[in-house]
Amino acid sequence: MSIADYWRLEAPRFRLEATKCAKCEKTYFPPKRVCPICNNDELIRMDLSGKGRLVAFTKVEKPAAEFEYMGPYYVGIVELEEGIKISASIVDVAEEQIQEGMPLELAFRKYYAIGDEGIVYYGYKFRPLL
Amino acid sequence: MNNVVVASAAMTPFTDHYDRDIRDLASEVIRDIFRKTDIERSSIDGLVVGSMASMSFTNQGNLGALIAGENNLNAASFTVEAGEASGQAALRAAYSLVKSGMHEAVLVLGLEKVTDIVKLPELLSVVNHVNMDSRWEADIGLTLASSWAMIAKSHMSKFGTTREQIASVAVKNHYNATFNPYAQFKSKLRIETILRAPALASPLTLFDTCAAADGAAAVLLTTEERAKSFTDQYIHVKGTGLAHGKLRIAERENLYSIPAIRQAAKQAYDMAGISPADIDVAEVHDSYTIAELIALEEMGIFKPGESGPATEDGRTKKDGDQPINTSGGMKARGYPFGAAGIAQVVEIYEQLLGLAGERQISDAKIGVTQALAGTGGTSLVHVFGTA
Repeated sequence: MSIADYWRLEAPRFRLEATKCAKCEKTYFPPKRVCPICNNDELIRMDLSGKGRLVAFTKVEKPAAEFEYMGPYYVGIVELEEGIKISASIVDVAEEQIQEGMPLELAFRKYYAIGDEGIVYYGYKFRPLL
Repeated sequence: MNNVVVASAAMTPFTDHYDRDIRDLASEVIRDIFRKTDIERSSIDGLVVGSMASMSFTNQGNLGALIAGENNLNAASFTVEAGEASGQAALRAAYSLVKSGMHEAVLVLGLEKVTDIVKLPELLSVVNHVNMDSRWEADIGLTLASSWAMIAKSHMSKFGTTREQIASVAVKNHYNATFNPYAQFKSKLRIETILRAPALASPLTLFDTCAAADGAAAVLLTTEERAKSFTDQYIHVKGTGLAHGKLRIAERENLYSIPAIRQAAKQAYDMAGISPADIDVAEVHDSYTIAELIALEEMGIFKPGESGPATEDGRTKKDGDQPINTSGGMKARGYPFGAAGIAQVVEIYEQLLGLAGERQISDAKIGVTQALAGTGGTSLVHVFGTA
């Protein structure tokens, strides 16, 4: 990820900001600038609730270079209350606790840093609903 | 429109070619095409290169111009990239060039130099970013292995597929590869070894996927009329299909099926006028063991849920009644990404012409290749025939 891209993605990455087509009312996350159904470019920004449930998961034992520092970690598919499904890292969860269907909520966490002194990237992850 | 045929095929061994770069691998496979086939370099009027990530792996782009220039080919040349399906996508582009009459003799070169990246996490990072949604999947910690792991879990829960059945894909492909002189691994593998290997993403282990390998593979596409002037060893390209699925796995309807494979197969079968029952031999995408099981179901070779038991029963071995990946597949023949899709065609060429040596299956008339990028972003299917 470049610093420019990080800046562009702050709103969706930090607080799940989606966009909604003013014409057909379809909600997009990741957010879109143009609704490809209506070809309409009037899209309204809105924050998703950040609540959902886990529909699939696994434990990553061999992370890619950026995520090696995390060691083994869980990833999964989260179905948000709004009906949108996204992939995310699942945190603050024990092996015996994680299961399909469990309620989750948005957690703001560190993703990774580039190099020892590079910029630190943050964004959404999900944790069990408190 | 022209009848398009494959009139020559060659590949380098797939392995860690620490002493060869992309230029060396390309020049050796092109040399083999001209050694095997009585056609002049000057007759080649098109070169299509399929390569997945030469920029990331070797810091070299524009392979079309590089390879044409380095190999004395005065051919219109360019590179096609479609993630892990780059080789088969290059084949489809070359097919359309010959079919339309724009070019008469097109070399399709699959090429990948992978092992200059020596650290596994860095290699994984490249493969993830190329084949998944870089920003919304790879960048948040999802890996291809974890995607395939969730797919495997879904297939197990939907159809009762067992962990052993999934592993039996690797056992079978390693067995087949023991008969392939070009294969990376000519050693047998036991189910217990796969299950006890270090975990990749539960339930999959390191031995459910491929090792890093370098290699090149090439086929010559031309018209049937032109081929007859220099060889009698050619096979027909009878059908081609390409379909997409959502790149982001979270947005798929379910995880146990990959509709892009089914759609690409239907296009290719309809064009060729065949049904799945006509397929004598097939090379399918097995970057992860579970991928082969789902491919066989989506291609109509087995019903949904039946590919696991069929594989476990040995039906897909080279000596079984439905031989799949007689080359050893990506798993055991080796998986230099862009080169692998063309190596699939090399195997079908040899099988249909009776050139496959110890791997030869009897009376093969229809052969099929299937490629996939990621977990279903892109799938291609090609049908080949002796007539």
